[in-house]
Amino acid sequence: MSTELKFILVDDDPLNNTICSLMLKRTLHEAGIKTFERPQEGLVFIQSNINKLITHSVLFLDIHMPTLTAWDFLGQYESFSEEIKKQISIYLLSSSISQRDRDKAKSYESVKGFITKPLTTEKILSIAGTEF
Amino acid sequence: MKISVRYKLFVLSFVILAINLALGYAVYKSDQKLLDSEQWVQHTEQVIIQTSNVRSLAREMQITSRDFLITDDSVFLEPLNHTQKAAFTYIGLLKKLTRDNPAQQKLIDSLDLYMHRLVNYSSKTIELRGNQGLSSVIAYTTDKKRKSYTNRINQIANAIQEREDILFKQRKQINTSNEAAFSRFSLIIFISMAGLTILLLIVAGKYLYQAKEKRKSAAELLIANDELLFQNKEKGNRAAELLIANKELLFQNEEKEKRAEELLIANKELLFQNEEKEKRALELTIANIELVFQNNEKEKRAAELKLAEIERIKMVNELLQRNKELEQFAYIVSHNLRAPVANILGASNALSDMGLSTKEKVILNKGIHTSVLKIDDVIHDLNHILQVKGKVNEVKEIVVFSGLVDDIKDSISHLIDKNDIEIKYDFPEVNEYFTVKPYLYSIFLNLISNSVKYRQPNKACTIEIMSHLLKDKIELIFSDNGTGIDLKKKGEQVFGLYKRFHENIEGKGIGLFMVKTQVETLGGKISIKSEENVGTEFKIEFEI
Repeated sequence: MSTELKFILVDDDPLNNTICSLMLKRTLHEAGIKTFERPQEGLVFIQSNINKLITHSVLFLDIHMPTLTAWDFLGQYESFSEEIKKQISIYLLSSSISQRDRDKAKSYESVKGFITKPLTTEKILSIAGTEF
Repeated sequence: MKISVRYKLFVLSFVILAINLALGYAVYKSDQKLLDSEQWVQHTEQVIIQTSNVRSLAREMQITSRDFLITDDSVFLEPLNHTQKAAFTYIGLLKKLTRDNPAQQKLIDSLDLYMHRLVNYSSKTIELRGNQGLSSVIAYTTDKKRKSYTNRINQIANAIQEREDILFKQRKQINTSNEAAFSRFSLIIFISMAGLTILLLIVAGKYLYQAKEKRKSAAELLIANDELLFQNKEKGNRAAELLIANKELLFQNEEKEKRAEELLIANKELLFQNEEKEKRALELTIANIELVFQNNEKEKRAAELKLAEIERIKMVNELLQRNKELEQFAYIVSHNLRAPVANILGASNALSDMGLSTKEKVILNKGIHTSVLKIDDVIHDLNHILQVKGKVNEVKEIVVFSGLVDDIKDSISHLIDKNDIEIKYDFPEVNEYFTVKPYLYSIFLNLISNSVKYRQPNKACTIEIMSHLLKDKIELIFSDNGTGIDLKKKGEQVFGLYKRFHENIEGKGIGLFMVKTQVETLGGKISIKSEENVGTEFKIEFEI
């Protein structure tokens, strides 16, 4: 990787990925963004390319996806090494406004926060403040 | 007893020994008698022989003295003297032999006398020959005395011999009879002794055998005796116990008699009470009939209440289930409405304040449009679902399955022709059902569409539809050879609203939700069996 990878987007909705990428670029002038419409591919990427991640990265994870839900994704992610988990912060990014989903998210140790779509400039700046 | 027999045996042995000794003595005595009689016979023989000798000597003397008288030769004197001496020796011997017989003694004395006379006469003649010559002798001998002496001696000797002969004969006879008696007696004695000895042996043997038997039986008797003693003791104990028990029984008997008397009195009392009770029982029977009637009424009421209760529980469960479904429905609808709304918000937000490129603006605008269409779709779906859920009392008619499938095949013929799809059906058992036709049409269409949508790529798609008529229901089976689904992972969500499991295939996740809703609205049930890369089978059951 030539550029530093700082953001990973996992969402089956391509429109959302486009909007998020645009927002991140405009707000942080950030080029290190990678998107995955298939969550499985996201998991494989993290596991095989962890050594190439130079800086600390943020992963935005959608909840409702047809092949693998966020909960399935997190279940597999839990088994990854501590090295990987230290390197990555996961934020759930969902259109859901349900309290049930928020409560469930809290039960996962690796989930840093829950963000309701859309991803706005304010939300990006807030996360960047805590993470970088 | 034992001692007595032994004593008897001892006595018997002693008696037999004594008899044997007595018999032995008798034999000895008899033998002595025989020897005596033999001696007497020999004795008599001696007497006869000696007498003959004396007679012979007397003749010898006569001859010898005559020879001398004639010859006057002294040669003849010596034998004459010798003969005279011998004659007297024999006479002495005879006297000794016959001293027990006085008659013979007398004869022998006279024999001695005549012998002396003969000798004297002879001596006279010998003297005369020597002194006066032969003529004087002849003169002297004219008296013939010598001859008379000799004759006399012969006579006496003969008399002695005659007597002895008689004695001899008598003694010989006695001896012979003694001999015979002795041998007879000996035989008898021997037989007697042998017999007695055998008897003794038999008795002793018998005694020994009996003694042995008795010892054996005595041992047995000792054991039996011990047993009897023990039994006796036991019986004694038992008897004592029985005595006590007997006393107890007597006491009880008395008690029972008393009790019996009391019972008689009590019985009379009870008889009286019984009569009273019978009267009361009759009254109670009537009351009972009344109560039974009331009870039956109550049971009927309870059964009705129970049924009502079951009905109520069923209804509550149904309502709870329905509520849960509605909650889920609301959640899903909100999500599916919220997602495009969030996209519109995000896109418009991005468009509003940043200097975007034309390309980016086009993408965002297109996104807004797509999201709005999605919202519209969801609202249409909602309308459709609510219509199905709401209209429970649609008009029912007889629907023919084969006709229904043919209609569907016609309506999607463009799809079937384009993709290698075969739809087979077989309804020999049951081909029709009285139901709401548009719902059943929708169910068939959705299931067939589902199979077409999830067919395996690069493989001919086959869909089979069959019906079974069971005792109280109809079964409809839809099976395909499509991609299938891992029910272990997704089983619960197959019939869920907006549940999609395939990213490559177009689908809203509403088809199977609609199928389930419609089947349940018609009062049926739907279930699924599936295996990945093999196929899927749906089974619908309707009650008849």
